[in-house]
Amino acid sequence: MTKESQSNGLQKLQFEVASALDEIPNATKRVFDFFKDLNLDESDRFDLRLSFEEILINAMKHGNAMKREVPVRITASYDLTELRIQVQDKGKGFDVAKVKDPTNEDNIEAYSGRGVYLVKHLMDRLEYDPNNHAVAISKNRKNKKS
Amino acid sequence: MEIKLSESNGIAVAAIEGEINISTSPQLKKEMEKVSNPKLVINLSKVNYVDSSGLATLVEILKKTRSRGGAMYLTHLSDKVRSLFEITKLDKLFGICPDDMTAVGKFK
Repeated sequence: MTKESQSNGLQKLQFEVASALDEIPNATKRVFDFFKDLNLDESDRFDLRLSFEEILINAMKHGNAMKREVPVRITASYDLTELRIQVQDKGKGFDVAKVKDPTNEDNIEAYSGRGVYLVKHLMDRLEYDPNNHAVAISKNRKNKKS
Repeated sequence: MEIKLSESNGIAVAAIEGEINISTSPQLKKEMEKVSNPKLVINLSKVNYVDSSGLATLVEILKKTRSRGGAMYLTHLSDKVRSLFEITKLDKLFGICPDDMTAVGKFK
């Protein structure tokens, strides 16, 4: 695990987790421990947790085929304007643009497809970097004092 | 996750406690497969977190209930959980009621 504090106020945490569902609670705890000084309200915590866990699960499932020995790298960061979490898998990545609209009448009863759609609505930005097999979410900060 | 099953006026009521997420959804699916009553109310008053796997599992339970000619209502959704149903437009697919009594009344 690495933790950095830079002169421009950027704080950064990076660590890896195995591709396994039982790793999710611990990964979430580490990310929220890192964000604890930001005093996120309950609503933001809910949105951020859900969004982070959705992209983490996608990285484990679609990127790393749920092979425990293949890690997902997590990079959490914040500065005065936003907080950001990037997950990077070792496989093909997960192109968030290719997900079908789950609210479409043809897809409304489908089993999958809602995770990325929710993330798009709950976060301010959702970015896919195909070169690095990475997906990042970011949310603008409301309270910019710390 | 804990699931308490009861019956009220011939209607099955499942009160769920805990999170409905990718880790707990299989248990919910398995438990609800044991419910043969096609009139179903799911009380979410003690559910504070649902992820996309949880939503998908609830859709599966709804589809199975409807395939048996029944109906299913969700009750006591927290504001945050309800917002997930609204964003994904699942609030149009599910019957959502403020409480169990209102939901049970829908079957009359």
